[in-house]
Amino acid sequence: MARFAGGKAPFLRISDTKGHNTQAIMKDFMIAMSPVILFSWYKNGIKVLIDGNINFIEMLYPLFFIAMGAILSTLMEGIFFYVTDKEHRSFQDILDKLSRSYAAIPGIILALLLPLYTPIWVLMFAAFVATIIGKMIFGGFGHNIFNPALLGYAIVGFTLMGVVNRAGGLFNASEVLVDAYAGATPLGVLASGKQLSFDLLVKPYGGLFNLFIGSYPGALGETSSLAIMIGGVYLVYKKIIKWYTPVIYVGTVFVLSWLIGLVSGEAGLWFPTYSILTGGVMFAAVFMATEPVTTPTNSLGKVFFALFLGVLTVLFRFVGNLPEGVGTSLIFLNIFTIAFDKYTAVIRTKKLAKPGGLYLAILTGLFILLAIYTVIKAGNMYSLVMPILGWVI
Amino acid sequence: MKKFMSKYFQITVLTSLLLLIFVLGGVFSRYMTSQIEVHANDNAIKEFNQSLINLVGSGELIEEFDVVGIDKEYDIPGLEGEKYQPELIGAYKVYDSESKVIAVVYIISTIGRDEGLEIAYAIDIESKVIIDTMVVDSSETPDYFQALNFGFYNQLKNKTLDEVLFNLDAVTGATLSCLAVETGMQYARELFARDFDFTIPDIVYTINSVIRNFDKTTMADKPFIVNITYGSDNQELEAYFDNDLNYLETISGTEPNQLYKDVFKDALPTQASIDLRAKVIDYDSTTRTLSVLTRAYHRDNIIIEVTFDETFTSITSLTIISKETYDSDYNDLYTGAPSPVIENAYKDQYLADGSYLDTFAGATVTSNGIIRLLTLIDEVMSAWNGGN
Repeated sequence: MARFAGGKAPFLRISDTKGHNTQAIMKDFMIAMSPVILFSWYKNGIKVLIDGNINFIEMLYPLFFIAMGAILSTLMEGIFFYVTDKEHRSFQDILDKLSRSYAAIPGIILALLLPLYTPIWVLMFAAFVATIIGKMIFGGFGHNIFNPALLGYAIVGFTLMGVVNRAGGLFNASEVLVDAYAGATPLGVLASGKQLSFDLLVKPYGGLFNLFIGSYPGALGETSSLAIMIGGVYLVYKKIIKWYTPVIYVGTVFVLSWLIGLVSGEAGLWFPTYSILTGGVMFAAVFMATEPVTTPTNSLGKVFFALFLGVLTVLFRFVGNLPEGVGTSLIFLNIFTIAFDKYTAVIRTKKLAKPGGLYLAILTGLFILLAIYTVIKAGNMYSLVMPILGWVI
Repeated sequence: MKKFMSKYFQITVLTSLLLLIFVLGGVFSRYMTSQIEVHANDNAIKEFNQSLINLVGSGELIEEFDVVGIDKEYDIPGLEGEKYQPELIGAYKVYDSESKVIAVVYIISTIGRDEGLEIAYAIDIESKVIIDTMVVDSSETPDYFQALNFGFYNQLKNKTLDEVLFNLDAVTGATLSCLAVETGMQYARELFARDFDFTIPDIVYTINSVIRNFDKTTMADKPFIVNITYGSDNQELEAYFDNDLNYLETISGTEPNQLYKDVFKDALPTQASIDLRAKVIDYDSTTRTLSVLTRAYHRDNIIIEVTFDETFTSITSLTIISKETYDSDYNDLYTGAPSPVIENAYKDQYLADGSYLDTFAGATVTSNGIIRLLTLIDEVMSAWNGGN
């Protein structure tokens, strides 16, 4: 009879005896993040200074904002440790705990997800939600259900986005001067118009290559697919993440977007390319869908998680009225991480024999149904080709 | 304090750090947000300056220079006898790559149909021509202002400041706006003459007198006799002018050149001591019927045909031909009443005792037009009957 060992992620391939531990992961994670951080500083700080649209102090702000995210989440966690553990309140104890706890990561990711002009007190509130409510209340690192950074981002999105927009939003001082943007991000244009037009969605932002490089309006860290991919390759190389999770996720978004484009009469590959280069898909694929605690641990679980994440991202983007569906779909799927792990573990051991085959059929069927629903609802096929199905749906 | 710090040192440090970040970070965030408006204003200024450089067509740098307007008044379009002072909004020098001033741009506010028509006039320093113009701000009625098309503005391009008359051909339906642009142009020349080495060309002349021609056989064709002294050598001239103030025929003196004739035509409406708007258009000596005309409210004419008795001491018939209509919002007296209520009222009064009624509220232009014509009729009668 097969026996299963249980425990909390992350389960490391590298032995602790060699001196490698969660600190190793954190270090590699920071290295992988550095191209993204450096690009966001360049795009929103250095380049804008070179354009002559800001001064030196303003140029430092993106870097300051990201650093503040890291410091705030670390501080929040440190205060929580102090308050909750009366036995170990010395600085050394707190530092020890922080070093094993990925304390800075939620804050950095938050800062990269939030708009440039987010007030520091909003970042503080988001860091509090992410760290204390999203992580520590559940039991700390390894015990949280939701991706902490996304939880903080979602709460700010629901409650304080008006404040952020009034403070200046996400357009930097050079981007506000570009008439072609008309004050909208690429996905903002799609959400408001629902028109699949290259001239509306891609051309104003300089073309697909520009979207790949990341020189278009968006949150600090989500725009540069190139920088994110460099970080992703590094993480795969260091065996921190599995290569297939981001590939399957991005591939699912690509294929579904292409199908929607086809159904709507737009057969070009530009639309699925645009879909994966915008809205934080790449960022989520590399840094959030691969998060070790809140995503499945076994490989089949990761595969299904990535598939469902892809279809839900496209569903929320096209069928819902959200400008981007990445954060919402990821938070939603975090709830089912344990279920994914449980059922895919059975499938892996039982293969097609009962109940493995049944679970596989359910998961696959659910994915296919969701995918078809998304394509039909978002495209024009519903009214033209399948009237019965259209009446039912 | 020592006891407190030894017990709560760590938490104090942590929360103090948090507070410090809250305060300093908040200050930095506010600073960033406040800079948005600063940058927007800076950019608006940059864009405006670039638009002025583009107006000049060449040039690397632009710099505002500190000058004030000059005291010179111009007629308010559409309001006779009333004058105003144009306003200098801004003045800029445009430099080339060698820091040499190549052009100047004056932004002048004038009155057209409404106040506040701001136009930028770019003048080349060396060739002393207007390079181009640009509307900076306008409250003019869009329907009328849009009639100022490319053809109108094209008159200003390369217009030399050395022109004596220095005016513009107006566009039908937008005369007031055209006059505003012209006034701004003339004012810009005055400023240029003051700020740079330039003398405005001038024609020397004096209109000594303008009288009506009461000769029954020629009065319709040659209605005005004008006495002028002109030129640097003070030549005396007496000549006939027609109803449109075109030079017709020399009575005495030397006929001037066309430039002078154009200047006289331009100057007579404001310098004549008689009202040139009342015009004799016909006289039939057989029936002793005189026809006089004036411009009225809707730009149509009011014509009065009057027939005199043999002695020219009384009027045997008087007919007013008019297409005037009246706005009932202004005077209940003629609400819904068909025209020519005003005309008949004046006619009846005049025929009764030779006097004129006061102007009617809401029909001032019509009333003044009729009074003007009746006054002219009285002058003619008096000239023909020896002063009665």
